[in-house]
Amino acid sequence: MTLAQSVRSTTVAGFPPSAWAFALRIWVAMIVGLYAAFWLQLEGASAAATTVGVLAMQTRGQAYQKAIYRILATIIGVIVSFVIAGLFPQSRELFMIGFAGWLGLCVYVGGLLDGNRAYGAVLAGYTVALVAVSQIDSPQSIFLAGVDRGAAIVVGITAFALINDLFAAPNVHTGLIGKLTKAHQRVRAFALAILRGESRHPIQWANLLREITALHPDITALVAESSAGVVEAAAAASAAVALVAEIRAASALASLPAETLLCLRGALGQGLTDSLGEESRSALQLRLQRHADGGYADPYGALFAGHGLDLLIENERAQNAIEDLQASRRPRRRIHATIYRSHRAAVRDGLRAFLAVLICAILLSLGGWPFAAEGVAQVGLMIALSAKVPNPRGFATAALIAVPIAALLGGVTEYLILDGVDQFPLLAIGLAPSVIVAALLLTIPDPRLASIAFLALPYFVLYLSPTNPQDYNPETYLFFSFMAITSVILLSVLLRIVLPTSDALRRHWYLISAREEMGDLLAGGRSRRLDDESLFRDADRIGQLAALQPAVGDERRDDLRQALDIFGRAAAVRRVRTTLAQVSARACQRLVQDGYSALAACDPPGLRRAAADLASTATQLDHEGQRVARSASLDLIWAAFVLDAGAFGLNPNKWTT
Amino acid sequence: MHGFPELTIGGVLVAPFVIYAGAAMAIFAVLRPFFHVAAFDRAFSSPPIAELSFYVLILALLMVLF
Repeated sequence: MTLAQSVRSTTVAGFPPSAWAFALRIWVAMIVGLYAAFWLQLEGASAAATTVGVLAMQTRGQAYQKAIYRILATIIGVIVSFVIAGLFPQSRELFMIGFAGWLGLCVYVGGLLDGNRAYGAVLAGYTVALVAVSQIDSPQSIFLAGVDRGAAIVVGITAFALINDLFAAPNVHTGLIGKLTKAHQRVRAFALAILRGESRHPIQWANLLREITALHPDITALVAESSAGVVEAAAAASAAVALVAEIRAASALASLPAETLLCLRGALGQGLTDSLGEESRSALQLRLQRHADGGYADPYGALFAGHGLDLLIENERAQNAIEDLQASRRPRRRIHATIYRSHRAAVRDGLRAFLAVLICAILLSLGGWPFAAEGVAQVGLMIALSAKVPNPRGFATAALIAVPIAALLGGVTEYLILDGVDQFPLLAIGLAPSVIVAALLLTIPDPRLASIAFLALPYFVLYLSPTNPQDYNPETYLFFSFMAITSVILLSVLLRIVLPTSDALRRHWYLISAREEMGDLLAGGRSRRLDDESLFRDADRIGQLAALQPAVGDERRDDLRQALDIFGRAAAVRRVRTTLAQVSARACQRLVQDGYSALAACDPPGLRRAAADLASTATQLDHEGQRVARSASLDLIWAAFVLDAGAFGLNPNKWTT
Repeated sequence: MHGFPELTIGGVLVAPFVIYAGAAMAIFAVLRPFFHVAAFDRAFSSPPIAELSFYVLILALLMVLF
């Protein structure tokens, strides 16, 4: 074992050195940010430390991307605070409705995005809560509160970026290469198992797609990480899209009879594992192409060869793109990894945020408590954050645990550990235990524990609220803590009763949207996306479906089977439309129109007839025309096959959720 | 000697350093895509620190020149 390996395998109190380095970076950045904010005599200096807590992400790219969105969203949020306060200066009711409407809109927009972009959208919403709602009794202070918050956030971000750079925080780039390489190995293993004739459970397919599409936030974070980020993000997106296309090709092979082209399966497997030389690989591709050109003579053999060829091409594309990513080179193919987000879910989340804020404002104002405005602001913040996680109820449960713990730790640190001292070094030492432990817990892969730590870290700083000098006002601490805990309890109740989105409802929406898009595609609707971009988007929808709890009594995961069925068929239909469009420039328009008509009518015999007509006409065309016509003919046969073979058919009455 | 540029937003005087820092960030953001073309990443063992130093250099130049 080398020294580096032995250091990596060493643990201190159960945590590896990388986790301790991360926790120490967070603590040092927090202290540097606080010191700079105190030195600049900023009013809201504690926001600098809170910013570090919020940006506590393990890689530089993710942290920088989040920082950029935090600045942009804060600027937007502060401007909207002025607008809302200016529009409704004399009416608290209208002010609250305006705030709730803005928060709902931001939550809706956040629902259409992912990763740090979704965070930026919801932050623009709850910045109004922190800047304007908490100053509802003194609107003339909103401008100063906004400027103070903005300044403290910039100081916190600068401190965090400086510490991350100086202490060599890990890069997204390195981690993403590892994740894509592992995903590529798994996709190859999946394809090899199919070539051996083994059957795969839909959940395995879906999880593989989910593993790849879940890399999207990391891919977008690359842009912020380094000067080569744009090129690296393009290479990573190209690799991810190629991997999804490789799974599609493998799943197409799985749907063909197991005895098809047995003689070629071994060579295809060797081609995938790179154990063939360059010459043998070219010979294999030529053989496959010859079988594919056979078309009607042996339809299954031709389809197998066509998809086998696709498998080899996509495997090579993925490999090349990963190598481009490693070398920070521009990829040979420029393609976007487009994500899927449910509009229905986003609208419901936005409406929930709007209603929850209004209900909470009514309840807290009826209570007549001091700090009621802070309570509304806290509910707004929490409801916005809960909308950007896959499981809002789980988030509320984590908040129910994290917020009281953070309040307790804040109180213990302020009144037992610091207990009246005002020297900065003692504040730094007093912060250390809670900050370091919370940052260590953030590194644990358990999502529940990580959610609790993610909330406890900034909330601890919020309750401690370091100022220069520290004011040690137990009354403020108690009221603020009481209001925050009440808000979290309210949030937890509101999330359960106001427009809750169950997994069953999400499943229904995902399947409905897949069918609607499939219907549009058959009817001739074309999107501006490339075929593989649409394929990645469909894979993202399946990944989200796989993350949901299965329906009661659905051990076979019929929902995933339906989604995968539509995934394969949509890919086949898109491909037919693309190749028919290529043929239309070279061959008789009537033949092409026959193909389109059969597709729109979901008529497999009609598709086969169009394929046969195209294949017979191909002989009259030039070399390139023959190639395109044969390819279109094969795609038509494949479309007829998948429309025939679909377990659920295209009749909507047969579909279940 | 030259005076500091002053910026006032809504009656609030913004520190000259903020303007310098913002302008330096904008220039840095414009120049950053060219770093990759110039193989900036491969010229240094720690590109993040080199980029940070470059930013400080732009900031210092702005402060000296304007």
